[in-house]
Amino acid sequence: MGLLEIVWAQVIRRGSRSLALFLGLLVACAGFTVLTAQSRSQELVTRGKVTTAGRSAYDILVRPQGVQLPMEKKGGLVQAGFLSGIHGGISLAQWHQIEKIQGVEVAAPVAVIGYVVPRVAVPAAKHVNLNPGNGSKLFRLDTTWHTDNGASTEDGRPSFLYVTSGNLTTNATQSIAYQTIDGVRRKILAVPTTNQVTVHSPPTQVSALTKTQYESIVAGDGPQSGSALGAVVGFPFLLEAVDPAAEAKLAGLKGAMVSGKYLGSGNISTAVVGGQSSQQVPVVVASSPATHISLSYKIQELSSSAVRHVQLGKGFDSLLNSPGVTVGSGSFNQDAAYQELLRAMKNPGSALGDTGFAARDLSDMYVAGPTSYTGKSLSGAKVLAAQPQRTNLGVWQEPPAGGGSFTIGSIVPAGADDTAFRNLTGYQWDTTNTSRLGSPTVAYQGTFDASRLPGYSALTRVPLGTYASTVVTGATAKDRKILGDKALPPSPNIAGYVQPAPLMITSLSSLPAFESGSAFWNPVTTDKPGTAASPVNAAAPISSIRIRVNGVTGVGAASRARVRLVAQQIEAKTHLLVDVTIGSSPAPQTIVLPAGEHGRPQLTLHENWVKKGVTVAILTAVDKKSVALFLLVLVVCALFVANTVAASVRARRTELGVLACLGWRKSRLVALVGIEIAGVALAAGIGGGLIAWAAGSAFGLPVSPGRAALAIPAALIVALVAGVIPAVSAAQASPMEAVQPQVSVPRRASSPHTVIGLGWVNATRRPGRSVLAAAGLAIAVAALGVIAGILTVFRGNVVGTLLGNTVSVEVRGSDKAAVIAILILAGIGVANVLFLEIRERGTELATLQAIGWRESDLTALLLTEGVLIGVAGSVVGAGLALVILAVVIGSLSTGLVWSVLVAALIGIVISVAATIPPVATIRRLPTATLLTEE
Amino acid sequence: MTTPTPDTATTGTGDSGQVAVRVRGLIKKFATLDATITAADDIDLDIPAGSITAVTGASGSGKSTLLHLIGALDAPDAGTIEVFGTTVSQLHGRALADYRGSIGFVFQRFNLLPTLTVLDNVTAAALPRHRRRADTKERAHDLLAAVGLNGREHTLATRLSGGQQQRVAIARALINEPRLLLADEPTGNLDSTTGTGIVELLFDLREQRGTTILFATHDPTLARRADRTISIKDGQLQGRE
Repeated sequence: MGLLEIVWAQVIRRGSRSLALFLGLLVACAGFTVLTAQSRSQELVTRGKVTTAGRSAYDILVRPQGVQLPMEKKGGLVQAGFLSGIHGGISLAQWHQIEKIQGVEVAAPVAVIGYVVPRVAVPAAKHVNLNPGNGSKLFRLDTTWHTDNGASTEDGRPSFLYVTSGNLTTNATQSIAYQTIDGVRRKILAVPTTNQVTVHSPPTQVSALTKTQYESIVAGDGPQSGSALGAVVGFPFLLEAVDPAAEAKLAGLKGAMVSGKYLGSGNISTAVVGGQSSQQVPVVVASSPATHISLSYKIQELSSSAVRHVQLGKGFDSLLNSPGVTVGSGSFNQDAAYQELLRAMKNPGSALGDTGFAARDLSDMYVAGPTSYTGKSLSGAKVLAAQPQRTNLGVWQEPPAGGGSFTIGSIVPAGADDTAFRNLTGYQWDTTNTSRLGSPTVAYQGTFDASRLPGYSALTRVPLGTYASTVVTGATAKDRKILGDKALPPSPNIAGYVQPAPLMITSLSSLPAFESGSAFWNPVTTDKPGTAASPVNAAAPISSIRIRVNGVTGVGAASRARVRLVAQQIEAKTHLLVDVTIGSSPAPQTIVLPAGEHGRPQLTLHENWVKKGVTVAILTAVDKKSVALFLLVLVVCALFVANTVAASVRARRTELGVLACLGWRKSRLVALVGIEIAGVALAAGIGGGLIAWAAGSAFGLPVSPGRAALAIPAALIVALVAGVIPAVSAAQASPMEAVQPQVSVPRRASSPHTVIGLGWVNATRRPGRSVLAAAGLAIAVAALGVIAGILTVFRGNVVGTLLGNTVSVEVRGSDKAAVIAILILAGIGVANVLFLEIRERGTELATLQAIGWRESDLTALLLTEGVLIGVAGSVVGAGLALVILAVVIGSLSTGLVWSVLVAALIGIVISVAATIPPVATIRRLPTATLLTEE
Repeated sequence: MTTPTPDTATTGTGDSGQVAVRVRGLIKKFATLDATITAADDIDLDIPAGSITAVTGASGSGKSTLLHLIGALDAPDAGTIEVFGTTVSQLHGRALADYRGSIGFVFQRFNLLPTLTVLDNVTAAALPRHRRRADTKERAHDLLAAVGLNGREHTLATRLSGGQQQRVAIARALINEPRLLLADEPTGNLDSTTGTGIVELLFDLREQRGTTILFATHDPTLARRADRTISIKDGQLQGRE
């Protein structure tokens, strides 16, 4: 009989043991192969050296995909004003998803709605006598707007005030004043001041906006106050919606409130304002304007011939430049005008009347796109030249509402026809649709002071800051002189180069007022009202989310790892564009700004852009922790195999001794055992590979045939490593084994007084076997304790240090599967020990039965052995888990300790459960046969 | 096939006049790969209380099977066994275990628990039942003295000689003061001198305690010392002396 035949006979004759070995290896190798297919995960990596010590108000910036401009993609350069240029792209659901991610301290969303231009009339003639006496007088207000620190100037449209002692009458529908002069009722072509209506440029002429248009033409009956002549100033407000609570937490907006109250979480309400139904949008506004604007004016009293000209109904066209006597002049302080605007917002019943409504009107919305640049060389240096865009005045046009009379509408802000650097899109409230709730209107809540925001650091002054405009300064002495040695401020021209910071903040719950259902329309892309267009993307209204991460104390390695881990999870769960802001720093760029239409020469400027300190990349990487867990599956399996093979060799000691008697060499004895183990392992490996491949196909897992084949070497290695000691032991078989009884005699006598005591004696009878089973359980409990601790206390991920290196651990689904597999294999290991014990000590158990032991007594005996192994394994495993957690995390919280204790308890429960199948076999013990067989 | 008339003879002391074991229509078969062996073939048997009965027969004749069935170590395929009025073949669970604990069984291979001392082997039956332990321990000492193992109580059982181990097994069998002692080839693994000593021990027990003893042996000399002998061949009772 050849060696292989003997091996084959062994496999067949000891079928149950071979089958156990086969099944153990099969399960472990199939599981290992399937799990390793999951070892590659999407990993977010950060690259770059953090040199700045500062930390911005947030650690992670989340934006919609596709908003990165080429310069950011290539060089990590984020241009100024990038946040306000993003209009939606993130859904509320994604925001809530991010909020729930472990490690996110606060996730503050920003939904950029667009620019609104609330306006206020500022009295200009406070010190001018506007008393017509017994006759009539005609005054003209000429204005000049100054922007870009005076580098740009623009003459405003003149306003006329006709005051008379004669009775004025009104055609209410046309808002035209009439006066009876010399017995003839004449059309003055001006608006009675009692109506307080400002007439502005007819829409048909907007496309040809020129300085010949009127700002207002007003007719007053009797002496007029100084407010009868004034300039209407419009301030572009960038309106953004935030989550009030998150914004208070992240940016400290609530703490920056200087008057009124902070935003609540309530929804919009409806009210009648200015005679019209409106949606009340709660807002807080900045205490000072972001834009810089100044206005100089001159009031002239025109000649009597000019008065006569008007009285004859000849209009005002020829009077635009007619000379007069200057009766007043001055300039507007923009801050005063702004405060006037805030006052108008706060007081709906303002004496400004309809201009009070204009101050709160949110029915016209403008969205500015990004600036594009071209690289050029300037004096040998690389600079960026801002590219002018087509000036799009069409967005300002107002449709006639209802009966064709002019509506109260937007005032074209000063400089609107200046050179544009951004594409402008306009949205206007569809006044023709009366079924709506009404146009959105400011419901003033309070005023915040951006300079009071905490963390108003150098970094927040770069574009990553939410409430600060970017700083643009002259690059050369000449440029600085042009700008009056000041930074170039945002102008009222929304399409201008410098973007203002958000001045008006509302809550996300107000967004429905601006969504498509609210019937905005785009006066450029659609040719008639009623075609819905919305500045807000209802499905994904959020433009960006700023995230602060728990436990981040600076820019150290641990903090960066925490941030990276959170960023990785955000990317994995939302697939949004995720950026780590740690290490970002101002990166001044030289910008060439072409000359403007209103006198500003070409400027060379320095603008603070952001250079991202670390770039983020999503890589497919091997999760080392997962691989370690998967290998533990094999290790626990190896322990099981070692026990099984050792028992097999022990059971065959006599047989091996006989073979030694027959002259078999040691190498041949090793081969006898080795070939048997290898054969079973090979079969299990092939089977495991097939199962893994089938499971991969069935469940869509990436188990390629090549990966499935990994099961074969895995099974062979595990079996041979586990079997090497038993095989060597087999080689030590001496001929005397053939004649010695297979009774292991303890070194010393035991005297147990209880069943538990006898169980202890039995459990320690073959300590190696029990230790291997306990070791398997210890590994399982340690793995479970660590994973459970991270899952329960840290909700799935943790950052710590290991051997001085910062590590971040995220528990994935495959890790949980691996831990479950390890637990199952550990349980099988315990059960295997008891099966082996029953098999080898069958005669003893039968003897105990024969002398009157009940089945329950035998059950208790075996249960004791299982529990002892379980307690030993679980205690050691729990200790290991605590050590691992303490080393990685640095401290042990009560929650962690509890998690580990629960893991230990589960280990004991598993070991108890593992005794059930072996104990069930007691009933089938052939008592009589066992007691008589040799 | 002739069915032997059940033996009703009485001998000895103790339960004198009673039938200790009553067997009726006992059948037990074992299936092997190529045949079915009938180890007990419709056996009827009465064992008088207090008697010493030897069961003889060749190897494989069914001697051990008969003892195993009476000792409830195995279950019959058919028939009934009554031991002091208890129908053994109907016992299950706790009652079965209690029955096993109430009789004594001595095996050819001793079947001592290798990890325990001599004393613990004797008291092993009481191990699960704490209340009986103290009394049992005292009794074990007495029994060990009676079987000549005084002073060896704390020796590991497996370190004793074969004869000594069998004495331990007998002491263990007697620990619960059984009215019936079953011994399966008690001297089979012993030399003749040691075997004789064991037999003397059994006879002394009967004399001192009135224990009913049923032992299997293929040693005619030993069998002849019994009060009565029954012979089994191919599972059938052949006769008695």
